[in-house]
Amino acid sequence: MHSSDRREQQHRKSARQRSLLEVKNLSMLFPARRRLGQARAWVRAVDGVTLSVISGETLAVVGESGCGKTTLGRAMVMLARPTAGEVSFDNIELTKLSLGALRAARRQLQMIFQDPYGSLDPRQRVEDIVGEPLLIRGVPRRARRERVAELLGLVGLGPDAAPRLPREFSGGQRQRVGIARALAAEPKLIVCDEPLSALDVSIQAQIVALLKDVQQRLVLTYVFISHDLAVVRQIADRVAVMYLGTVVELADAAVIFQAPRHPYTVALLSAVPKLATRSSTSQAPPLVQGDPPSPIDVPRGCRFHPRCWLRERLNNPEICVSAEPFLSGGDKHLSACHFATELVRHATLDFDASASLSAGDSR
Amino acid sequence: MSAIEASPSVRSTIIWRATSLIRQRPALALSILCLALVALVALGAPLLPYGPFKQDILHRNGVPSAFHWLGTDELGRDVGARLAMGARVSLIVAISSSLIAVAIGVMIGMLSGYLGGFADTLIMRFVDSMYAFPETLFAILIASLVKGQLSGQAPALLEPLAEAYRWSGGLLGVLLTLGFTCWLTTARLVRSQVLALKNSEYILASQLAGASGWFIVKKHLLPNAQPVILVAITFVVPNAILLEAGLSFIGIGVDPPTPSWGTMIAAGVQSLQSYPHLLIAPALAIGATLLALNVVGDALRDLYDPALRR
Amino acid sequence: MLGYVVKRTLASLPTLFFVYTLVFLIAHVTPGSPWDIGSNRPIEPTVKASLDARYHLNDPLTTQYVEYLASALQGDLGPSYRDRTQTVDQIIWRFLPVSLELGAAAMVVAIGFGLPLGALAALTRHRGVDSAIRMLSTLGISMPTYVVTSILIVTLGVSLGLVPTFGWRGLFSTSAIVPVFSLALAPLAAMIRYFRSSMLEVMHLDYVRTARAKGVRPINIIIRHLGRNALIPVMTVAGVYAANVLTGSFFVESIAGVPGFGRYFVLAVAARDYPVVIGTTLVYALFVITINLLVDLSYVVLDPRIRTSTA
Repeated sequence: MHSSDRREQQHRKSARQRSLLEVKNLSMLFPARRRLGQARAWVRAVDGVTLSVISGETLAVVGESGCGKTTLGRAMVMLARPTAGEVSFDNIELTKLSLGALRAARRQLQMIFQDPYGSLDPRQRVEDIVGEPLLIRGVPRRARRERVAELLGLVGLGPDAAPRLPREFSGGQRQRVGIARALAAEPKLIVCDEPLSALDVSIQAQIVALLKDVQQRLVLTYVFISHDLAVVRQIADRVAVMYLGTVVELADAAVIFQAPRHPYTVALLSAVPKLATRSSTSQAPPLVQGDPPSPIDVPRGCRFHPRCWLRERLNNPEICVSAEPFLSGGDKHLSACHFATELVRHATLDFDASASLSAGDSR
Repeated sequence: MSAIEASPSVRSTIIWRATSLIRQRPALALSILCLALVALVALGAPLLPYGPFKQDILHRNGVPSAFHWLGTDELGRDVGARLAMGARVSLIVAISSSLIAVAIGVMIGMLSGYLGGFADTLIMRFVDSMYAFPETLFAILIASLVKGQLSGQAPALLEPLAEAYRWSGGLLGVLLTLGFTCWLTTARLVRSQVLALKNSEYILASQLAGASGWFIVKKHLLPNAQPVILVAITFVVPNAILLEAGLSFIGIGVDPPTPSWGTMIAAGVQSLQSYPHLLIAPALAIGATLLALNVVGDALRDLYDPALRR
Repeated sequence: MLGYVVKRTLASLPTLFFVYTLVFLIAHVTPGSPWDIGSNRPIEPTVKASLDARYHLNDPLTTQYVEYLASALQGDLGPSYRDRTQTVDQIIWRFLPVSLELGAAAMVVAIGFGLPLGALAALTRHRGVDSAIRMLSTLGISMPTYVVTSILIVTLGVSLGLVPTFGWRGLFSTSAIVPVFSLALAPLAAMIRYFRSSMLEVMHLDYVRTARAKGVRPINIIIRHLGRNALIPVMTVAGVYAANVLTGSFFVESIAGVPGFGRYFVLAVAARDYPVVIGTTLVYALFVITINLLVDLSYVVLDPRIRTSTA
């Protein structure tokens, strides 16, 4: 397709730094439960996503629940086989590897999970949990034990955490264990799947600080999945906004928070009080209307058009219903909207890019 | 760097819950004692004064007396001694059925649950078909098949097996029959558990770390399936004992003169009108044992799944 | 929903095939000839040869397999080897109704007494009553059926002379008391347990407490809210036991002298009467499968959620 070629060219042009993980036209479709007699329907969890993750950066993937970001994250580390498209890591096409070869190659991609209570085996001691990647690699027992102690120290847990069971720890501490486990495999890239969502607010700040610290020390690349824009603001270099299985906007973090170019992003940002201040005209902030549609029944044309405030403002242009917009717009700031350039005129909010969200701020 | 504020190690939670449960329910304590008694008697059977096989025709069908505390049977053998030997048989049955259920049932359940897909469907179809076969009926068929092959003239290939059969007094036949029947429930239960656990995030984490399927089964699935396996055993054991007694009752279980509670009950039924005491002892023995097993089984199930409790 | 019924029914066919194959193999692998039983001398070779030929016992197993199946589908289950004057169908039709009667009566007793007792145990505030009922039900599950039958015969029949000690004179005679009750005991105990725990679970659910708070009368709550939902696990248990009970317990029939299906089966197995064994097993399996199907269908009625989801 012509526009996707253009996209690729732009990506390559702008990639002065090495791209570590590349995702091309990735789709994850699941068969949908249907009533007897209906045609076969598909849940389009991820629908044709193309992204690259640059070495050393933190790429955030944001969106509402159900937009496909978790599925994307899992597809990126090949925990689920993509229905279509490819995943390349370090120029190796993971999607073409056999299961055995994949198992050997996948150490470099790790994941931190959302649920601190479900992500640790309740019957294993912390030292065994963190040590498992080492055990699988064949590291002998004493070396394992030393390394585990090191890792625990790195994430802020003392050595007396090692012989304990997960149930003896709080949510925040369990996440630290999860981080230690991910680090044990010595990965180059870690997908953080909503690691803060299940934690208390005060703990969230600690974990974010830990993640940043670790990234700096060990030179890691992160893909940070979250629905919480305020947190993303603190940690991300670039942000990808997802809606209904596709990426609708992709830009550097600073740019996207200051001057978003997609109506959905605008709406998302306006919903976070910290990030938006009312403009002097004090018009009602653009809200996303209606209910989120199901990924089985994707709207025609632009996916967002049934809920798009901009479309309403522009008196329902036909193109929104007839043609699906693709990511376009220069090499650094991509947006999938037919009217991205008009957006600026119609946004009624100033986004306070200098708002700081250091730990300790109450919400 | 934060210090660890872990709660004091509560590794003994299960033990604590078990002891408090026993304190709360007198029936449970009684049942455990009863089972311990049965096990003790079974193990100590050879120590009893009158052997179970010693016939004393002159004193047959005797009511309980000072010499024979439970009386004598139709061939003059001491009922008490035979009862103890029967306890032994039941104990062996209990242990074997648990082993079989665990070995075969867990393996099949794990395989089916973890592999999923076509293998799972195939295995489950097989298990469902086995379920359609009424268990007692199937057991009778297998038992008679085994007896037919192993007792009397056995084909050359099976000769060593037949030797073992004879040595065991026919018990091997029962064990083989059990091998075919007692793994079903376990397989089903384990499979459901594996299906539930399969998508846990820690399993995903292991996969990411490069674990093979076998590793995951050994390190994660099996330990976490332990409660379910225990629950399955609480169903398997009483069922197996019942089955053995039933088979022996209609004559295709153990071979005479091996005593089993089932054969003793059958004999007791025969002389019901004239010597009722011959029925009472084995009937009480098996009834009490099964009752105790059920009470303990209930308690174990409650222990591992508090949601099931009141 | 009709689609679901059809689909489920069709899914049962492979199971039936499997059962047939299995029992056929077992029956024919058992060594010895059916003509040896019941005589002290081995049968004469010429007589054996002619009998074998007449009943196609020399044909390769595969032929026998197909032939038997073909005739079975037409309703002809073959002759009995043990008693060559009868065919298997005749035997089945003669003995099956008795077992069915017995089994059905037992299930009626089990459900009729089990559900109210289970409900009572769940609803009563009195710990004593609850404990007593639970103890009784545990007892009921633990006793082997034949032990119960024996004890009942000894006490009611021999000592007190209230019931005949052997024989069957119809469902509504005193001779039915012992068999029906002993057969009913296990499912009765199971019913009590499962209905009780099922009710306890449902009782604490939010919508029931809402109904109570609204002041709906307890009896209405029981019937409308609790009843339906609590019945679902009960149907499972009922299905499991019904399959066993409806075909008559071998043991009960043997001891109490009920001329039923079960007793005949045991005799046939001992006699290596292949057609009877195979035919009987097929009928049993058919029953079990049908009952499982009915139980599955009852779920659809009881739980509307299942109706709207896919099969």
